[in-house]
Amino acid sequence: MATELSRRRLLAGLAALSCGGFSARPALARATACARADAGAPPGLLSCWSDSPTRPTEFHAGLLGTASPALALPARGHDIAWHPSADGSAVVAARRPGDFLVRWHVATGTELARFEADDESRFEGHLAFRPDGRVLYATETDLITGDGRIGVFDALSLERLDAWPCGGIGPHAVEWIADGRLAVAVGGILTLPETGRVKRNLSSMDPALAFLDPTDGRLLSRHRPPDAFMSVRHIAQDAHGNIAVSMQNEGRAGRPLFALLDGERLRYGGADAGLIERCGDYAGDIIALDDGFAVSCTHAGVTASWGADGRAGTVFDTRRVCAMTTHGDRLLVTGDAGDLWQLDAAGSRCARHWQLPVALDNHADPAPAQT
Amino acid sequence: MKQRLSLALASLLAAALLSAPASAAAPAPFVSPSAWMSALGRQVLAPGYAELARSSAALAQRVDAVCKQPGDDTLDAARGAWRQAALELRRLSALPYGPALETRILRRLDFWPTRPPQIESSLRGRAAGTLADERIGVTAKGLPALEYLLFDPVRAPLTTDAAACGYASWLAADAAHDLDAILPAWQDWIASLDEIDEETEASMMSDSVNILIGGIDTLRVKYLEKPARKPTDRSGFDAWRSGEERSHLLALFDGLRLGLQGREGLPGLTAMLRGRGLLVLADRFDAQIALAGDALQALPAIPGEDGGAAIARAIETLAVLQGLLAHDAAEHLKVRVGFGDNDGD
Repeated sequence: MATELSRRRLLAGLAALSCGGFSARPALARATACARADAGAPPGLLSCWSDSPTRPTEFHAGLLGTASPALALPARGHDIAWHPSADGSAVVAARRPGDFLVRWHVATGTELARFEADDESRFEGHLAFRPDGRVLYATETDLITGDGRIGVFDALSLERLDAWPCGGIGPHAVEWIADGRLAVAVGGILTLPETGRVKRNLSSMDPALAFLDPTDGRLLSRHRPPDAFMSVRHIAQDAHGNIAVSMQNEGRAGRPLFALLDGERLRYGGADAGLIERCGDYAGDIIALDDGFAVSCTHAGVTASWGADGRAGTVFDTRRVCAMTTHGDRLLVTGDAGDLWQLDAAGSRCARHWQLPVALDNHADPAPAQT
Repeated sequence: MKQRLSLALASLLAAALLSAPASAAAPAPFVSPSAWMSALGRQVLAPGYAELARSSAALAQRVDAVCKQPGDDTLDAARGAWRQAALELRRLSALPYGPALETRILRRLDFWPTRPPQIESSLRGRAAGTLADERIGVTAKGLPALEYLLFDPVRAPLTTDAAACGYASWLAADAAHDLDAILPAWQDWIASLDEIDEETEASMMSDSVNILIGGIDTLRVKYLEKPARKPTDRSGFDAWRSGEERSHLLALFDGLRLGLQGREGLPGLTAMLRGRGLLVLADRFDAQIALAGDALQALPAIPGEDGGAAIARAIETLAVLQGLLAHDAAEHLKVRVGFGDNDGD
């Protein structure tokens, strides 16, 4: 779940970056705004990375910006999060379709627990903790039926406790919602282990934002996007309880990659044709601001924002943008070309930009204050 | 990580070898994906699954005979029947096309690694009448579960365990029933390939190539790399309980080779490449398939105990082959690879 920021300060920063204001018709930032690379150490950032964005061969997870050893992974990692107990450990989930969950002590690189999926199921990339740190939820697919489900694990030992249907096929993100529900981004896209990530049901997709009871997995509600070809991928909730999703477009008609949960339905964020074109077809992450949201449009290489009322905000260049998280009251945005941008929420510019020699993966968690 | 490095190096090597431009000439006949799949279905898959259904029925009879007349003779006969059926299954498992993919039959028959505690729990529940057949999941079924019951060196033999024997008999009959049930689907699938539109041809090309990539990846990672992580421990290898590790690895590769190269009168991927003028690439496939085949033939009878160097060589040659397929062939055939590490979330 994206961490809260001061909306006013952050949006002020984004607006300044874009050389425009917060309006329904977004303006494009000058690409030079964040172009200069900083030679200093980047802020601590827990993330996954590989050695190349195009033909990766080595995969790691760890705390960027520190001397802590990286954890070698057998394949790409995806979602990553500190354990809620603040014991210095973190858990990484394999990128979909993946077969591992690993918990390790980040400062030492020591592996503490591992779960490897076998022929029964595959992980779909994301995890969420119950706030007490005892239970971990991970998105999965049953390899026999193709049904999506939520795997329930002991959050320390990573032993499997249960598995629940999640309200559709192709789940991706799972998030703990402030009112105690589990939210699941049901992508609606069927893939099979025999054909890897090849999408097999684009003509019959049924994506949704689903809510489950985290005590027994009961499906509480299911909310479809306006178009069945919009695959729901990621979820964020702001401090006021507003819930939004980012999506990827599997159709031929342009659509906004952002939608708000408005009562029982998902409603697209405002976007004119220019913004839709500017954002492209794929969003890699979403973060909650104070009463708004920002979405990383990876293929298009822009970061776009919307207000909590759904009005379009700003859009600015961030090539191959992936993860979005916070550091203090600043927004950190990464790209798979190794870019790390720090947006100066208090000022009027992109505060810093680092160029790292790795391909950063789609998600990140900031270093805790004491690290 | 070493295996990923080797895949990268292999890809570079393959790229270097392929630096010569492909010939513009196309002396070989053009083979469409549907023609390729149709021939594979008629000549290999439909008869193969029919044979596997017969072998599984024979296995069910043999296991049933153990339960009725427990003894070394009946047990040996059942074990022999398992060996035959399992080898046929392993060869077919390399080519999960058409009904094999759609029905998920291989997932139901071939759950592995086995989970002995779940098998034991299921057989006890079934024997006690507390677990209905339809509630027994795939993790406690299939031919690998049968291998555990027939061959495991630690558990009591079927000849002295009536409950386990009854469960094994049911497992074998269940497998035979599942295989019988999909046989008509093969003819329907083959007939459907006669009239394919352009979009479906493209989709079939994608599936055809991706399934072969997935098959090589499965052989390389699931059946070689992961088991080899525990040196001197054979128990991570497929079919270790029956002592058929090596023959299963070779059978899986034989299936892949059939998909890649075909045989006399049966086109394979290389025929598709040659029909498109990609002669150099097809030749490289032939050469690399031969190297991988030789490397697998060099595996000792018990790879988990004394096969370290040979396993490493087999993994390396398979990585090169996978790189050829996933990078070079896929690019030339305009196939989006489903097993890449560089495409989104």
